[in-house]
Amino acid sequence: MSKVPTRQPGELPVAMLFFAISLALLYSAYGISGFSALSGPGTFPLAATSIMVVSSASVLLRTARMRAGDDAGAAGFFDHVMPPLLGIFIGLIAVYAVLFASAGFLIASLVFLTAGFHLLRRRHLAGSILLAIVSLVVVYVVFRLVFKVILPEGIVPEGELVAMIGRLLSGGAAQ
Amino acid sequence: MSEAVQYFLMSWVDPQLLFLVAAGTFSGIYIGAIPGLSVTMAVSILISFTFSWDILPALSLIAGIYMGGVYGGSRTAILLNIPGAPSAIATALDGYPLAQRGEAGEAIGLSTIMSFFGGLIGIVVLAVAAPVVSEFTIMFQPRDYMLLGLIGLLLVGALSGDSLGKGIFAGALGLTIGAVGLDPLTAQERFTFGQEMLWNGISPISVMIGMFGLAEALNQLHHIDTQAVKQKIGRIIPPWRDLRRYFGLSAQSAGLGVVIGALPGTGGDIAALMAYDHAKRVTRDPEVPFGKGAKEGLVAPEAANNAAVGGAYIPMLTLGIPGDAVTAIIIGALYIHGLNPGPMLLVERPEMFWFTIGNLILADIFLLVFGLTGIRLFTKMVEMPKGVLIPLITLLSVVGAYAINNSVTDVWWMLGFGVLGYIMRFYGYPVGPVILGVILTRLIDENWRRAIISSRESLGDFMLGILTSPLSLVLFLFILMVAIGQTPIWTRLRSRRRKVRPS
Repeated sequence: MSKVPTRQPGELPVAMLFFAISLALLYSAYGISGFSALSGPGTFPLAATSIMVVSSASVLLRTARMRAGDDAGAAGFFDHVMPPLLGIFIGLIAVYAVLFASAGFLIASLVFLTAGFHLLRRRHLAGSILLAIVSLVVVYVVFRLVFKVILPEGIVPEGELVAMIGRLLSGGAAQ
Repeated sequence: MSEAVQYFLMSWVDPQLLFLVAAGTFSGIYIGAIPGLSVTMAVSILISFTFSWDILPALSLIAGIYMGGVYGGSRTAILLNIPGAPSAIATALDGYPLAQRGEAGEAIGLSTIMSFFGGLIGIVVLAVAAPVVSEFTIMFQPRDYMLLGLIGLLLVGALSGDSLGKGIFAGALGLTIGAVGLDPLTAQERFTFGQEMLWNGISPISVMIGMFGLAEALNQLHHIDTQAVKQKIGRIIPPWRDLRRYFGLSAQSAGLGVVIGALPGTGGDIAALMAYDHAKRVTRDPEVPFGKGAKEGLVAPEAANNAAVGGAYIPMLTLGIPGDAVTAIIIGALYIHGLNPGPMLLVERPEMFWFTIGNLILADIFLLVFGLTGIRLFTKMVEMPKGVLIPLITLLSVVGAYAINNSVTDVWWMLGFGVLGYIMRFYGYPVGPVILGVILTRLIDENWRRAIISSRESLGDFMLGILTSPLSLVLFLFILMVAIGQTPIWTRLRSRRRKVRPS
């Protein structure tokens, strides 16, 4: 007798979700130009989403046939797939993205790195702050000054800072 | 010709470009080597920083990262038994036993020299073969381009892992994501749901950074307390006797690697595994058995996976189709830089081709230099705690996504696809095919429509066109062969035949 494989916690709802999304996208693809012409703008999306529907349906069927594990259900999902640490970290990134646009790169990154290091390293806050400052300086020098990546300035007059460093360097070179 | 030489040597004599190739190779090696950070991740994050640059510096950095990244994975395969990249899976089989015997340094030295040698062969083949292939591909019709796009999609099979159904779903999801926005031919809205911000589509790079960068960082949160194992490192430069002895094997493996790398659908990982298998078959009596620390088992995959880099550039530059996930990302980046990888690239911008060849050779030399030095620094980097690494990768992913268009919208996309990518990976949906789909949408969609319009909207005429053109027919048969080879029917048939034979 062959053993029925066990599915992971949350695997069935995710397979259902993917199937539902595929159906919704197929419907949306049909709305683009229907079956009007083979060269229509909707033909390719129709083909792609049909494949999504068929493949997600086959995955869903296979998953449904598997045996539910002992830790199936929401509790198992939050234990294995989305433990609190992961949820908090994703939330932290969302806060970072909001701050990134409003407060600017420097402030947002300092807050994010400090919180991130503190959350994951579980050591003294002072150490995390220091580590965040050092990392931020390195990242800033490499990406802002060397790679010349444009970053949101926010509330720190960072552009002037860069210009000042540039003036200092060119002044230093002239002497 | 003189222009070709001039562009070939450009990054060798320009200090800025020289620095960028070196920096790219260096970061490629180190990022590729840190377990959990793949070369695909390195390329997707670092490429986003080059979008505001000129094309030349960007190409220099990209060549370095790719070359270094493919090699970097071998380091951790040898030292920790964790391949830093899929292309180093075969390296771990004999590399780690060698390290356990206290020969880690020598194993790293040997793998470095063989990677250099394999890489060089790959680039030479690229330089010779690409112009020939390109001349041939100028004859391609839209129909052939569409077929080429489909060949590229077949890579889904190779990237799928355990479940082909999940791989196909991921690939189709990618094709759908690639179609979001205004239709390039008719300006009709597709999957925009009335949102104006979706008119320009979803940036493929934000999808890539999310799925390869952030998703990987989130995944690493599960292993936050894993400690790195330390290995003793002794002599690094391998004895001359070894180099001479394995020269033949490495040349064969490199030849194999470049061919596998050039085939759409197979990249460095498959090249390395096939080369390992080849080494096992041709080595009659190894000093140490395979799997227990045979140097042949280290030489073959390392020469092959770096040779595959040059190989993978051939379909990328001449046909515009990716050889693996990394070249899919590079194609996306080249489009953003205004270059159209494909048959016309070598005709319209031959200098870019020679510039790339020059960069790759330079990167290969830097690989040798950085590979044989700085091992101490390297072990420190590998031992960097995950608690420090993960926030830093996340920061780079956010900055990288922002740098695409200087817009926070891309950061949100990146975050969304990062979480989706994490969930997909957790349940065994491969994320590589998503990227492949996003990249290939344009090629397939536009050329399908051009081809079917020229066949007067008749599917019969379209099929007749394929069957009567030798080129289209060859491409079509190739697709059929590979597609059938990847389906369960073929595996079942083969296993049945195998079962019959012994009885």
